[in-house]
Formats: sequence, structure tokens, C-alpha cells
Amino acid sequence: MSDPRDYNDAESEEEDDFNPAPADMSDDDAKGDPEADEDDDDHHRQTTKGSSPAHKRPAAADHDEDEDEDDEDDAANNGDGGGDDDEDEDEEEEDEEDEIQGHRRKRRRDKRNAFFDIEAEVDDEDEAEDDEEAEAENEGFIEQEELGDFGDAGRLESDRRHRELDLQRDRMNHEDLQKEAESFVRKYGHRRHARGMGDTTIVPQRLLLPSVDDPSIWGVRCKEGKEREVVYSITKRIHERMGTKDELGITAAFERGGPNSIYKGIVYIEAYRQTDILQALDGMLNVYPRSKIILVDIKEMPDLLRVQKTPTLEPGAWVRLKRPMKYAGDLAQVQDITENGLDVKVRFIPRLDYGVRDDTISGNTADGKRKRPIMGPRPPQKLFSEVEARKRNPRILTGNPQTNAWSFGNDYFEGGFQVKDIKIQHLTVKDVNPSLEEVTRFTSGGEDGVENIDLKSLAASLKDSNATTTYLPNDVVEVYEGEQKGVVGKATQVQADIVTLQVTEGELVGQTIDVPTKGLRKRFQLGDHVKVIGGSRYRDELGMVVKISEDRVTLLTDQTNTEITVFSKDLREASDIAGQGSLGQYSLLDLVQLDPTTVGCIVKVDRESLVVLDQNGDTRQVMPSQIANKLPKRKLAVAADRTGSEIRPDDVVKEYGGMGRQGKIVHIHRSYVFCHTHQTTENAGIFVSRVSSVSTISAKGGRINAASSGPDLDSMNPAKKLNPTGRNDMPPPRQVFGRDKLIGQTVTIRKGGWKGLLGRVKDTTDTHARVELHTKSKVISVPKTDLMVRDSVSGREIKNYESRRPGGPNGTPARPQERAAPDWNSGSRTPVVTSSARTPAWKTPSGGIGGRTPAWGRGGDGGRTPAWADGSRTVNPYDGSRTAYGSGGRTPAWSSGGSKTPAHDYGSKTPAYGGSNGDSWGSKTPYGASAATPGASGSDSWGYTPGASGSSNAYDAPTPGASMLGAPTPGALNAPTPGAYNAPTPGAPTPGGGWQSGWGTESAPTPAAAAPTPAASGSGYYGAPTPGAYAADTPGPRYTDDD
Amino acid sequence: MPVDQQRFKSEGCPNCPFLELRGNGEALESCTSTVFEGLITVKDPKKSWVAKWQRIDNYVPGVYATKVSGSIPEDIRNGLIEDGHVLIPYVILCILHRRHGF
Repeated sequence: MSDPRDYNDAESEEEDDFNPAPADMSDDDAKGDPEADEDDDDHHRQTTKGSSPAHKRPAAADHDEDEDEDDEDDAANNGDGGGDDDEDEDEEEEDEEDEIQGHRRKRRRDKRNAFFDIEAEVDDEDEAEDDEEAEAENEGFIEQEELGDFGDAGRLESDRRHRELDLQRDRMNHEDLQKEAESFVRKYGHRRHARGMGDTTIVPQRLLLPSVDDPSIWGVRCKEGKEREVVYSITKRIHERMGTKDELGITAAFERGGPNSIYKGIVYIEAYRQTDILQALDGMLNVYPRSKIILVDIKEMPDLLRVQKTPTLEPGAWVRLKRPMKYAGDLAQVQDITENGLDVKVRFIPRLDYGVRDDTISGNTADGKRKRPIMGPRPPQKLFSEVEARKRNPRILTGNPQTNAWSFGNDYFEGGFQVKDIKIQHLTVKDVNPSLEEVTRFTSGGEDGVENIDLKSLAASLKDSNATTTYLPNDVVEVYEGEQKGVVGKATQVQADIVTLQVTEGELVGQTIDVPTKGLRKRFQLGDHVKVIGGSRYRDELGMVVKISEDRVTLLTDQTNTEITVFSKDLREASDIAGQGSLGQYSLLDLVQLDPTTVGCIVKVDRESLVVLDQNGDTRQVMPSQIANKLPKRKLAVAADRTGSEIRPDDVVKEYGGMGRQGKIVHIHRSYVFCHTHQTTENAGIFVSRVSSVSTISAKGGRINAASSGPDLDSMNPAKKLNPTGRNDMPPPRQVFGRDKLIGQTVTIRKGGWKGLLGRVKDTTDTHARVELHTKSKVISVPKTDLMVRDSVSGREIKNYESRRPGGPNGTPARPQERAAPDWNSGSRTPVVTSSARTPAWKTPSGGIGGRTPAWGRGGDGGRTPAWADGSRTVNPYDGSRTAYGSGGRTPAWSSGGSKTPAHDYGSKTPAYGGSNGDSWGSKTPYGASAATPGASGSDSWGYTPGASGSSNAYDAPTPGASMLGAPTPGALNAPTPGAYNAPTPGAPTPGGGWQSGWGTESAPTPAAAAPTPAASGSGYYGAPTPGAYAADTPGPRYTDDD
Repeated sequence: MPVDQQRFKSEGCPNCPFLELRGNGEALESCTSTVFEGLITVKDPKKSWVAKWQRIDNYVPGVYATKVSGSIPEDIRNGLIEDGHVLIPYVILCILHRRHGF
């Protein structure tokens, strides 16, 4: 029983019973007394009234542990028949007493009060307070009883006798009772001590609600901000007049002032009469009792004393500073809280001027003026910089560079942040609402940005403020706090912070209830499509709810398919789908200028930053402020793809080589295309490529394009590769320079509805011509292939008009025609060209550019040169071309190649070579001879050794041919063209031999002896193939270049 | 603000003798708080409803507060629990009052 926990139980019982009285009565007491009461009641009803009081007293003193006494009492009350019952009931009721204890006690006491004055002696110990509180009731009861008594004189008389008897018995028992009382004290003394504190705390506050009997509270106007002073003054006055005749009539006074309080400017006085207040406040400063005094309604009294729970600060939480003034409103993060909870160690971004302003301030004070608040704008928030501090005021700077902890003057800095102990009252802990930007500054010290934001602490800071929570009608909400916890409903009306709910689930279905937003949260279901509306850094994201845990909702965003977790209060059901994608003026897929040389395409739009894929294929995260400007989308931008055909935005192109991605052009910027593909979601499907490495797959709107057929299949055809027909499919000139010669020509249309009509070409594209008809004043568009060029004067047909034009289109449908032209093909179609065109070298990056590599150049650019053209038209193309080349770079292509290729120089300078200029085989003879020279091998080996170089592969592949006396080798060996090789003189074998030996022996043949430079190899080949081609292909120099 | 700090220090808290604040500067420091709201002066705790509502009706007349910020050191709190004190938040609150008894 003496266990404090037992005691607590008793307390809670009492609470359950709504018994306002303290739990003073012990269990024993309760056991003893109540049943006696019962008995009494019975007697009252069954027997005479006079007999009941007779045993009442003893019953009251009845105790379990004192059975003897019990018996004694019973004996003393013979004939009353209650004694036996007493005991029986005693046991029975022990079980029940918990439930009915309070009730019975009340009855018992009422009775006792009616009849026994002496009761106080016994109960005083236990129930003094009880009595006080129950006074009102008791009195009422007594009155009733007495009325009845007075109405019956006989009863009054018997009453009197009963009382006498009682008194007598009491006197007899007095000693025992005293002993008992002592034992009580012994037993519960300790508990009582504890109760000294506990008594008042255990009563539910709702039972303390004011009643009409309590003094009233009046509100009295006072000077704002002086509320506390007034209360102190009242205190003082109470103290002064205590015990005098002027003693104040008030019972208490209080204030609820404070800068943000709605009660400011008022002190509240508790008193029974208003005059007491006037008397108490008479002549007091700052308070105006003469003006209106407001009587506080009883119902409102508890509100006056309502205490708002202080939000508990935890390390990591966000607060705002009120002091020092310089930092007012700045965000700070709680680092630590002192033990007594009064000081908080916070860190914040300093606003330092490193003492710049100190002089001016001291100047002011020197004038004897009061220190003025710092004028002008306060310094910007900036992390502490040791360098700055050292520069400005090195004397007051101390610290440790290792830990990056500094003290500068009286301030202390850690990692750039100022750390300071601030009194809790100088902090704003409510409605902090830190914005992401502010929070980022705290974390960006780590350079990794928002990643390490503790969402939880942010949440704690945000949670208290419901300012950002908005409920709209039709939101499905759930009550999660308070008595209506668990109720789910649909908001029908929202007024300030009260939401009216139409309950949709649970017992209250159909009812409409009002709930404060405080205990509400929005309710979502898995699969709901929601939008983040605020408070979170994910604002405006849309997504689907995939997980709900309490008030945290995880969604899968529409845009990035990532999971984010936000508070349900920040969510709204969304009807639209991922409409987001713009930040300020920038929106997804915009082309933006990052710096003068870099452009990028926006591939992701975050709440406050953008992700940009720049022209080099790198993605970077930028703030809108880092973007120089937005480049307007040029719908008419045109570029040429690798085949030279024009590409425009919205065309579908495919990367040549590389990753072979295919996509639709979004932007063309200079030589870069930004394309969008559906094959990947990376970078929103955007990739960047160079125009020269993409080829058109399909053009927008079916625009006919030169390379609409995709890669040139002809060039991939192995059959053609080996040149079985002996035709030269070296690409003819591929670019039209200047004005199309067709323009202005007189043509007839060969096909279609306009067939046969004569006209004049007004304009051309790659494939089409716009023809102005002579017959009709009309301009029509006709494929070029359907045109027949006629002499404008004679009207005679001009055959092969295109092929006669050196600048005939390349890769156009017209091309086969050209190929068909014998004079064109016979000479130029050297295998070298084809082979070189397909050499890996060609595919090397530099080769990709095609036109720039010597090999390609030869095939392409070279082909365009007059020299080439000349050569190709010679009867013996081999000789011819060789001559052309041998003569040393008459063609620009050659010279360009030659300039890089020592081989060329070498070749042209070699006497042997020069000597052999006329006779190809002759030239090789000495060559072979020279090849025999030692030392030649080094440079030459690469050419013949398979795999020695990428570019030589072309030659290596056909190497088997080498044994066949070179002829079959498609590469260099073949190059000599059958004509050249076979035809020649009997002397051919000789060189051939030498040659062959060159091949066979691999190293021996090298002319390197003649030319130690890698170029030698060039010359080595030179004998074999068309020198030009060879030289152009020469791996040697290019090789080195590539490396 | 505390008008009677000296006295509080010298005599201890009249309501909380078990805290043994008398002459114990350290305990006084750790068990009291200067941060409070709502100053209440009570002349007659037994009669005053305000006192009852604040559950200070068994205390001596004096100056109290509606709300006190702060917390009791862990060791003292544990000590109080061991001594059989029922520590409910209000008790803590009362302890932290810097009272100014008459």
C-alpha cells in the first residue's frame, strides 16, 4: 500500500470516477465506511430514523484491519441487525468498490454531515479538502434533511437521542480512533508527503472549470508593454497591505502580454467584486481601472490562461534569429541546446564586413553620441572567409585552419558558419518556413548541394506551421489527432483553419463535422495522381502515389520516374499530367547559351535548377542565372549531313558510327545537332552529335533529299568493292559549287503530265528543278532526272549534260547514270579508291570527315580537280594519273596530301622514280633494287605487315594477291590497274619480281633504303598502285598524325 | 526581472522544499528558469480560481507564471522520481518557476 504506484492507481481510479476530491480516502477507509452507509440507508428506510444515527458513527470508524472493533461496534448496535451484513457486504463489496466508491462516498458523507459534527475530527485527516469542495452539495443536503426533521417533532427528538448516544460512543471510541489515525499517518505519511505535490495535479483540468462561486475575472486596460510591471505593482501592494484594514479584496491578478499576444494592453484581475479591483488599482501607474473594465465570461476564463505548447527544439531544426539585429530574420540551424533549455547554439551564415564599418561607428561614439544602429544595408550573407578576415583585421583573428574553426573578434566561426549561443527568446521557432534556397546555403558548404538536406529536420520545422497547408473543398482528408481521430471525410467548406467535413467512412458516415486543420491531413490512396503544391523542394512535380506511411507519401514522378517522398499536406490530387517543364523563361528542350562557346539543350527542369546537355555531350546542372540567354528556336536552320544533304529541324537522322543513335532533330546549332530519341530516357532522350556525323533517315514532310535512301549501299557492296567490272566507282564530285549550271537551260520534260513541254529552268534543288514552261506562264517543279537539256538555240538535245559538268551532283539519283558513262568510269574507278574508301583509316575520326583525309580527298576532292579529271580521261588512266601525280602535286588534293606525306616528296624527288616516270615498270625496277638495300625494312614493314596499321589493312586484306605477282591485290597492288600491270613490257616481270620479293620477303622490298622516312613506304607502294592514291592513303604520315 | 531572487536564494522555494534550493546556488540555477510567459500574482490561492486552474492553490501566495520554458536536469529529475514524487509536466513547471514568495 505504501508503494507509490499503488497510490497512482488509486488516483487514476478517481479520475475515472470524475471525483473531484483528492484521493485522500484510503482503500481501507473506503471499505469500512461505505457499507456502513448502506446499512444506514437501509435502516433509515426500514426502521425508525432515530436508530440509524446510533450506529452510524461506529460504522464510519469501521475498518478491515480492525475487525475486533468492528465486532465491538456490531455488539453495541444490537438489534439493528446490520452487523452481520456489514461483514458479508464488506467482502462482497471489496470487489465492487472501485466502481461505485465515489457514489457511495458521496451518499455517506452527505448523511454524516447531516448528523455528525464530530465527524470532522476523524475525517479531517483524510478528507479535509473533500469537504471543502463538496461543501455546496452537503449544505444543500442538510437543508433538505432538516426541513424534513422540523416537520416531524418526534423524529427530531429521536434524532437528538441518537446524537447523544453517538457522542457517547464516540467518546468511548475516541482513543481507538486516535490510535487508528496514528496508524494511518504511519502508513500513509510518506504518501501524503508526495501528495502534497500530487493532490492538485491529478485532477483533470476540466473539473477545475470555473463556476459561479469562483471569483470573477475582469480585464483592465493598461499601458501596452507594461503588463508585467502592473502585475508586480499589484504584488507589491498586496504585500504592503497584507494584514491591514486596507487589505486588497482581489484574489489574483495576471497578464497575458507579449509582443504577439492578443491580450496585450490588458491585465486581468480576479476578485469577487468590481469595487475590490478599483480599490486595488487605485492610484497605480500604467493601469486604467477608470476606463472600461471588461468582465470576462466564465466560459472564457480558461482560455485566458491557455498555454500554447512550446515547440520543442531539436538539433538540426531551423529557426530564425531575432537578435542580433543584424541577423534579424536570418535562418539558423540549431546545433545544440543547453541543459536548461534556455540557450540554443545555432549556426548561421554570417553577415560580416570584417570591420569595415567599425571606424564609422567608433567615430559616432567618439562624438559622444549614442551608438547608432548600423545604417545602410547590412552586409550580405556570406560564409566566413579567413582570407578576408586576415586582410582586414588580422589581429583579432585566431583559429585553426585544420578544423576551419576561427574566432574573429568575439564571434566564432566553424566551417564558414557563425556559431553562437542565443537565448531562446531571441529565436523565432514557429512558422520558420525555411525556403529551399536558404536551406541549400547551409548545406552547399559541402559542395554537394541539396543532397544532404535532412528532410526530417526540415519537416519538423515545417510541420508546426500550417500556414502552407491549404485545404480545398473536395479534398479527402483524415483526422489524425484528437477525439475524432481516424475520421475520414471530404472537405466541403474551408474557413480559415476550420474545415467542414462530410464524413465518408466509419461510424459517423454522412455527418458533417468541423475540424481544425491542425489535426487534419490529406488522405491519398495508392495510385492517385498527385501534384506537389508547396513546402517541399519538389514543388510542382507530378506523380503517382506508390507508398503512404503516416503523413509521408512517396510518389513516382511523371517526369523523371524517380521516387520522391513528401508530406501529404504538400500534395494535391492532380488532374493534369506532367505539365511541368519550365522554369522562368526556360523550358524543357530549349536551346540555351551557357557561355560564348557553349550551347546546351535543357533536358531537365527542376524546381530551381536546370540540367543542360551541352554541345560536347556533357550534362551539367545550372541555375537559371547561369544561363547567358536562350537561343530562339530556328525552324529554318539548315545544315548538311555527312552525305552533304541538307538537314533541318524535325528531320530524322542517324549517327554514323559512334552509338548509331537515331533521332529527330530538335535543334541545329552551327555544326551540332541536338536530337531527340525515344530509345532512351536518359537526358530526356536528347543526344548531341555533329552534323557531319549524322545521316538523314527521313526528312520532315517527305522532303526529297539527296541521301534519303540512307547510307550508300553501293559502297558497301563487296562485289563492287572488288571491282569485278573494272569500273571505277570512285565517288564523283559530290558538291555543287556555285550556281547550278542547269539553271537557265532550256529543257524538255520527259515524263509525267507535262511530258514533252519545253521550258526554262528557273531554280533547282538537289533533285528538282523548277521549270518555267514556255507554253504556259507557269512554273512547275520537276525532278531533274525527268529533264532533257536542250540547246536553247538549236533545240538539239545535249546528252549527258550533267556528266559534262565537272561539278555534277554526287550521290544523287543521277549518279548511276554517271557511272554508266564509260569515259568517266574507266579511268577513275581505281580499286584504290574503293579500297581506300573502305579502309579503317577512312573510318577513323579524321577519316570520318572524309573529304579531309588524303584518301578520301583523293577520291572526292581529288576527283574534282582538273588534274584528276584529266588523268581519268587519259587513255591509260594509270599512267596518266601517275603522271599527274608523279609530276608532283599538280592537283591541290595531291599537294595537300603531299605536304603531309613525305612519300610524295620522296617519290617526286627520287631519281629512280623520276626516271621511271614514263615507264611504270621501269620505275619499279630501280625501285626494287633500291628496296634491296638494307635498312629499308623498318619503315616499310608496316605497309605489308598485316595489322601493322589500320590504314594498311586495306592492303593486307588482299595480300594473298601479292603472291600472284601483285596483280590481285586490290589495294596497292591492284592499284596499278590491270592495264598498267599486265600490259606492260616484259620488263614487268623484273620489277614484278623485285616487287614480289618485296612482298614476299616482307621487309626486304622496302624502298626505305632509298628513303628512310616512313615516306619510303609510300614510295614502296608507289610502285604498286596509283601513286597518288597511295600516297594519299599513305598511312605513314597520317599515321603519325593520328597518333 | 526576478524581484526577489536574493530571497529565493536564501530561503529556497516555499512550495518545493524537497528541491533544497536554499543556499544552493547551483541547484537554484539549474532548477529555475528566467523564461516565462504570463505573470500571475496570487493573493489568496485557496479562493482564487486562477490559482486552482493553475494548480497552485496549495502554494503560498506569490508570483507565478502561466508558462515556464526549460527543463530540469536529468539527475534531479531522476532523484525526484525516486523520492516518490509524481512528476507530471506541471510539477516540472512549478519547479522551474522562479517564485517570488511574500
